[in-house]
Amino acid sequence: MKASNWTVYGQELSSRLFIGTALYPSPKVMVDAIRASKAEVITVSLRRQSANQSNSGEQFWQMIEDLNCHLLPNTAGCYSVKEALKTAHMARELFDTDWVKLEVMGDSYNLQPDPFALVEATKILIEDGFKVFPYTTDDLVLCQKLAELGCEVLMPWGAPIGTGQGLLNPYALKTLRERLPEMTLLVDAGIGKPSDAVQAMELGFDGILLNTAVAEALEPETMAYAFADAINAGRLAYEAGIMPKRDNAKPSTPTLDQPIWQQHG
Amino acid sequence: MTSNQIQFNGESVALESAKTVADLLEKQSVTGRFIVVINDEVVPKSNWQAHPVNAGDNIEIMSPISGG
Repeated sequence: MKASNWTVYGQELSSRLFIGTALYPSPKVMVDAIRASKAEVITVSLRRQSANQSNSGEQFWQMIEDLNCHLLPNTAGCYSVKEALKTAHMARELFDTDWVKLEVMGDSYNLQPDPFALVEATKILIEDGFKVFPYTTDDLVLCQKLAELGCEVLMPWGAPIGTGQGLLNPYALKTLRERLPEMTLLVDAGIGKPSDAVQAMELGFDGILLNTAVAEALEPETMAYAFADAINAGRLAYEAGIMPKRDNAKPSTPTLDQPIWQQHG
Repeated sequence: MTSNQIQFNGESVALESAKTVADLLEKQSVTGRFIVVINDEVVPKSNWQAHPVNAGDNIEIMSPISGG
């Protein structure tokens, strides 16, 4: 059974997994893993050509064109509003999309987003017609501010990028879901294993963005299948309605009409 | 840098006879999927034939790469 479709900035999607294109052991492994993931959105980036390599991006471009996915360019490596704005504008021209995964880092040790710069850059980019997918911390007030600015999607971290530590603060993520019920929310970063993704989806998150967990698996293609199934299962569970936890046991086998010697009062 | 030099992908290059972005791209044999950024501003492809390149310009050719 397949979980319901969803919409991201007006684009209807079937898969709830966004997947990155970096860190795979080879281009072929990347293509096979992305196909196995059934992702319809892939993240990409851009860089300056080196002086002696005048067509370095062509092979990669051909591969991602063949995948026929929606492209979500990122502003990875930006530590200021100015850098992020410049990269976003370049990405819009290069990839011919107004979607941008906005990353403005504040700390190089844990790649934590700079909340102040993120808000400033988001405001400017939305005014300039971008559809911003902010990579953000799980801070409620920050996310509320980004929502007020007009973001239709927010992407709080589960844990720092590439750590695979899973959801370090489920309480904060649960709070975001409860306090921003209409917002499209993806957990972006920190997912290490399929059960992390299930946990986020069961909390009511709309999707997952991941890269390293698949790319650095021993068998990326197989791991991509695992994540696709896990994310679908987590979403189905959320849609089905998860039973509340109880403190006391409650028998699952009916006790009515049991023999007298099995009745314990 | 001499008066006829530009910065091209981080290296000092002689502008020679190139007068427009299109001239420069041909001279530098740039191919594939890319965009042109001059002095931090994107030059749309539709302007490549007309947009001038001048000595002292910082010209960057940006290409797609993998990203997370």
